[in-house]
Amino acid sequence: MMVRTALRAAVDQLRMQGLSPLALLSGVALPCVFAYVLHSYRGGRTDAELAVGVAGLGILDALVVLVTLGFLAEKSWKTLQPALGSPGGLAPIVLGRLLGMGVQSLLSIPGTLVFLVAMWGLAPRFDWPRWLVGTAVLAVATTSVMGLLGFVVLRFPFSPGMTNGIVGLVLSLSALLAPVSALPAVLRAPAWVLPQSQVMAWVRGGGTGHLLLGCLLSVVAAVAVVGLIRLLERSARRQSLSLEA
Amino acid sequence: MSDLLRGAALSYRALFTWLNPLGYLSSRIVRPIGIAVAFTATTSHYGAPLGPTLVGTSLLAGAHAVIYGMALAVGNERNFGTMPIWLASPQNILGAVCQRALPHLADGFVSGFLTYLVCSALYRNLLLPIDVFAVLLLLALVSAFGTGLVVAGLNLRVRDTFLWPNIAVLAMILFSGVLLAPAQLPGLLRPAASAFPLSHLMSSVRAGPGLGHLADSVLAELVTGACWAAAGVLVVRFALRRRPSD
Repeated sequence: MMVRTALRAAVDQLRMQGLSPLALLSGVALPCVFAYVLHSYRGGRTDAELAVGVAGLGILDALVVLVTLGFLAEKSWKTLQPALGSPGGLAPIVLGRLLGMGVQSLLSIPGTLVFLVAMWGLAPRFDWPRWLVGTAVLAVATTSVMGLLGFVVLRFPFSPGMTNGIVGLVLSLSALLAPVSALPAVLRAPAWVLPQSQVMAWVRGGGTGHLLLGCLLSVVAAVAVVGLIRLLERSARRQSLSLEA
Repeated sequence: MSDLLRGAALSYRALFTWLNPLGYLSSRIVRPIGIAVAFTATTSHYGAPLGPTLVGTSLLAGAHAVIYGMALAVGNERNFGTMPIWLASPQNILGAVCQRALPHLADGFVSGFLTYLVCSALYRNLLLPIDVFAVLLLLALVSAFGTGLVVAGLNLRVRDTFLWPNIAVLAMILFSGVLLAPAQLPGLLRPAASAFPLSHLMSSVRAGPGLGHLADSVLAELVTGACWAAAGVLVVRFALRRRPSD
């Protein structure tokens, strides 16, 4: 029952926002601009590192837009209170929506690869397994981390502009464009806490430990999101927390 | 003068929706610093000189604040349902848009300056002395004001408040020389690059830290800004001639 509701919410997300122009702009156009800048520094053909980093940027930007606008729309439509009163509660619907947003952001993976290949071609020994695993884990990792943003948007009264800095903050710490070692010393420790930086370290040729740690951190973030949404549900029921502020 | 400032302050309070602690911190401080750190890290990783990227992303932070602020100052009239009343009022709309830009110019200065200070401290690299950077930032804001006027004019007609500012800033990232030297652009696009705000300032920053280079670029940057402002006047007048969408 819960799983069916969550899947239905995911399908609803795709049905309503599947081809949102804003999501396309943020998930494909912006990373392609950044890809051009990145390529001008490094030159050469497209390798797995460039392809995964640019796709990860698209996934991040698309998810920030989708999570913010999607959950704000639920607030303004006043659909959260009815969802709370439904048999399954709020969690399957919110998590299903998040799942749908994650699936929607996957468009960045082929979208950016097509651009990169058209512009600069593929490197002779393009590491397809690393690209496939890297982008897949990066998508899961980013969806999990952005789930925390979704909780903040749902739990607290929304202040316009409050999510604008998330892309800058996560972009600087997630090592999508350059490795963690290129960051200022003071930012390196917090950067390793993000699963994206671990995944990117593996994509850049690091050991499997980085990938496993990236997966583990993604799972931790996902579990935290589920727990926080459950907590939100309880607060809304027991303390009459307004979900539409 | 006091009426001008009072009107500007009123519009800032009423229409700049990011004017709340979290919104301001996130939009005007965290975002530009984060993006500057990400690009400076990328530059340093690939062995390019850090300084120009650091200066460029800080100038871009200031321009970003002006362009988005002016877009919001017009777009939010529509979002709040007051666009028809505003346009029907006897106020000079072009003058009002310019007046509303004043707080965003001040904001742009704060945002750009803070980005430069924080990133210079993080990377222990101060390419330009603070006072020279402040002058460059003022010039960047003047030319960004021209682009902001074009975007504000477009927002009189276009329903999506953020479409044109997003496109303007993406184009500036590519063409203004903030992240890429003009020589790194495809041949066909190189002449177009010099028409973008910040491009002349960035050329002189890339040429070296000497004040002589910077002096040369001042006039060119001001002319670029004036051309954008003239284009902005035309766009606003054209938008007002046709019935703006509400």
